[in-house]
Order: sequence, then C-alpha cells, then structure tokens
Amino acid sequence: MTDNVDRMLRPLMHTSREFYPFVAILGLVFVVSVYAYQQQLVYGMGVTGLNDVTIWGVYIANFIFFIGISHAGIAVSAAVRLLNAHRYKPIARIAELLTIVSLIMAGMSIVIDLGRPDRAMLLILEYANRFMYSPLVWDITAVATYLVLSTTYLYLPMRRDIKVAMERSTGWRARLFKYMLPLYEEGEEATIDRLSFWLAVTILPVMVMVHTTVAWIFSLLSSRPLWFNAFAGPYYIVAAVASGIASVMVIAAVVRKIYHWEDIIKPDLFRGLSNFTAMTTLVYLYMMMAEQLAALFAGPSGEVFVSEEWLFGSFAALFWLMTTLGLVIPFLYMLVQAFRKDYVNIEWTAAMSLMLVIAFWFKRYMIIVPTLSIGVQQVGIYSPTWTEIAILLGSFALPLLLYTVLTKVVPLMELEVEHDA
Amino acid sequence: MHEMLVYLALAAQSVASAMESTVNPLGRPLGLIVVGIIEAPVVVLLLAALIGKPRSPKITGLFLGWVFVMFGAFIGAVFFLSYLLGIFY
Repeated sequence: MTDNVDRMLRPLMHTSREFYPFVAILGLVFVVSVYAYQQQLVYGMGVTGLNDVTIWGVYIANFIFFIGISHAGIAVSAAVRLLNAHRYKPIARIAELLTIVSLIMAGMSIVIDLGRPDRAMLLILEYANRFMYSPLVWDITAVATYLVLSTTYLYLPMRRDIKVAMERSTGWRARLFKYMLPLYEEGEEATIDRLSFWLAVTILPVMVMVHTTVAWIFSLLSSRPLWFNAFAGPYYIVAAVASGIASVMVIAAVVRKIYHWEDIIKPDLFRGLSNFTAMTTLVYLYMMMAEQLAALFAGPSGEVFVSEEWLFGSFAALFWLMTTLGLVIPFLYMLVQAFRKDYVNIEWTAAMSLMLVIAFWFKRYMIIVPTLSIGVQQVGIYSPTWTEIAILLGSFALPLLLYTVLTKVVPLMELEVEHDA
Repeated sequence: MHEMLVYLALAAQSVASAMESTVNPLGRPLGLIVVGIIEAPVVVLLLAALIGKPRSPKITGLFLGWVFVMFGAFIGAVFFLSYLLGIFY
C-alpha cells in the first residue's frame, strides 16, 4: 500500500531529466509568442490578418476551443462523484487540472483578441449596464463562475492528498505543502465530502451554461449566415464534450506512460471514454449534417452561399479534411473498437483522440472565418499573419507548460484510488 | 416620388426598430433570467454549505473564503491586466 502511495506521489517528489528540456522548449515558444503579442500591442491589430470585415480569427477560434476542452474535467469528475463511476477516479484530477488550465487560456484568448486590452476593466465597471443585453457579458459571468467553482472543486478534495504529501516530504516541498493546507483540522474529510458533492451537483448546470452562452455570442446575431441557429447551444456542448473527453484520453495516455501507471489507469477506462467519445462524435456529425442540409435546402441566400463555400468552395479542402480525417476516421476506429469484446489499443485510441481534438480546433475556425470573411458576400480575405501564428503556438505552449509545472505541485491522482484498490 | 416615400418609410421604420430594441420588454428580463440561471446553482451551493451536515465552522469558513478570494482574483486579474497593458497606450 505504501509503495502505491509513493508511486502516485512520484511526480511531486521526483523530476526526471527530460522534464527540464521539455519545459525549456515550451518556455521558448511562449517567449516568442510574448514578443509577437508585444508587437501587436505596439503596432495595433494591423499586424494581424484581421480587418474591417473579418473581425475575428484564430484568437476567437482558440477561445471557443479552450472553453470546449474545459468541459472534460468536470464531466469526468462529477460522473465519478454523482454516478459512482469509480473506475474513472484515477483520471478525475488529471481532467480537473485540464479544466482549469483551459479556462485560463480561454480568458487569455479574449484579452489577446482585444484591440485595446486596457479597456477590459470596462466589462466589470459597466457590468450592471451591460448584462441585460449582451451575450458576451453573460458568457463572462458564466466563465468566471465556472472558474471559481472549478478551482474550489479541485482544491477541497485535494487537501487530504496534500496532507499525505506533506507527511512524506521534507525541506521546501514540505513547507510548500504546509502553505497549501491552511486551517487543516483532523476529521475534516466528512465536511469536505459533503461540500464536494454539492459542488458537483451545482457545477454541472454552470458547465452547460458556459458553452450555451458561448454559442449565443454567435447564434443571437441574426445577420450572420450559419450562426443564427436555435440548436447552437446543444451543438456547441456536444463538440465541447467530445473534444474535452478526447483531450483527457490524450493526457491520461501520456501520464500513464511517463509514470508507469499502467496498473492504475487501466485499459477499460480508455475503452469507456472511447465509446462515449464515439457516441458524442456521431451526434455531432449528425448535427453538422442537419445544419448544412437546412442551410442548403431552404436557407436565406447568405446561408446557401456560406454553406456552398464550406462544402464545395474556398473552404472545402479544409472542411473535408477536417471532417474525414478528424471526425469520421476517429469515430469509425472507436466504433470498431467498441464492438470488439474486451479490446482496447491505448496508443491508437490516444492518437485518434488527438486527431479529434485538432479537428475540433479547425471546426471552431470554420465557424468563425467563412461566415465573417464571405458571409455577407463581401471580400474580406483572412489569412493569419506570423504574429497570430506565433501567439497561437504560444497559446498551446502555455497550457502545456502550466500543466507540466502543476504536476509538480498538485497530486495528480486522488490517493483514495489506492484505498479503493 | 413614390420611391422616395417608400425609402423614407423604411428609414423611419429602421430608426423606430433600433430605438425600440434598446427598451425591448422581452430583451430586458432576458438578461436577468440568463444571469439568474447561471448564478442560481451558486446560491444553492452556498445554502448547502451553510445549513448542511456534517458541518465544521472552520471548513465552511475556508470554503466561503476560497470562493470569495477566487472571485476577487478573477476581478483583480482583469483590472491588473488592464493597467499593465495600458502602459502601451
């Protein structure tokens, strides 16, 4: 038993040689992106490919993407707590961490997209005047609430694991864990379990509202083809759940390999997540087909135009590549795997999940760019500049960096898993 | 002449609809309803924290403190970023 606890706390206590070059590379990419952002601040949005017609581009695609990824943590963790799905417990905290890192990145994506980020404080100063009318303000409200509840949901149950880590460590690590454990009292677990249960109950509707309000930012604009859509909320939520769970599978496979947790993060866990992802991807493909069919068959002229550009025009290559390679092939792989009894190939499942995640990023790009650049039949050619690409790369390096550093501070696994075993 | 009247009527119509949209009786409560739906679970959570059992004043205090500090951190981060990035303007 002791041996297992030590293995679970290993990421906190030991740092491999590969850790430092990995962090250094991510740090370097991030520094380059900070330079690019500095250029954007100094010279204005003119250094990006954005223009009067295409006012949103890769930054807003990133925002929707990260909000989507953030759904995974709470979905998995709440399922563990509310549905007694104990077999997913080993990855619950891995997923919760992903939620928090993704939410931070979503917020940063909005700030990066602002031409005058120094005016971001107006969101708070003018809140009372804006929340009546603005879906953007509803979304900020939902994201802030979700972030606060998610950090609480991560921290409270983690206290018992921090206590164990503190008892097993010395020097600066022991002091750090002590600071992370204010007001500790013996027997607090029962109160924390009750609070965590209620957190799980209340955080789920907030999670749904977060992506619904993201969808409303677009779908309440009636003049934008393919945005004005009554089922945008559910449509976005399905994409969020599929891409989020796929991200969890990728990270869980990597963590499992690095820390040799093959006996803790078991194959049947991947099988369950893979089956669920296949189902949500199928629902998403169905919704995508329904959206395109309605637009092409009887949509207003703008909808027909944008839809034709998606399927047969200037965005067709990207659309079909994304749909076949990123959605259909992973779905078929996971479906075939689901029908093979007791079979799961973790490496291939992780690879297919990664393809899904990438495809969902491009899907978010497809939501934004065609509608804005050609949606009102104007010529608003959009092509991301090196500044945007550098910031984009940085926005992927930073969450990886944050996540990697957090694995050195936060126990990656609930130690109860060990007791359950 | 007829076309001129049509254009004038259309212009008046668009001005009227634009003016009405800011005081739309359906639009005003919609924001309240949405924010209410978003924040309602937080109210449930706070009630559950305060009146549920088993209860520990220390842990309940820690929980409430954490929630308020996190909200403060979010708002503080927005202000901090605004001031920090303001040096470029």
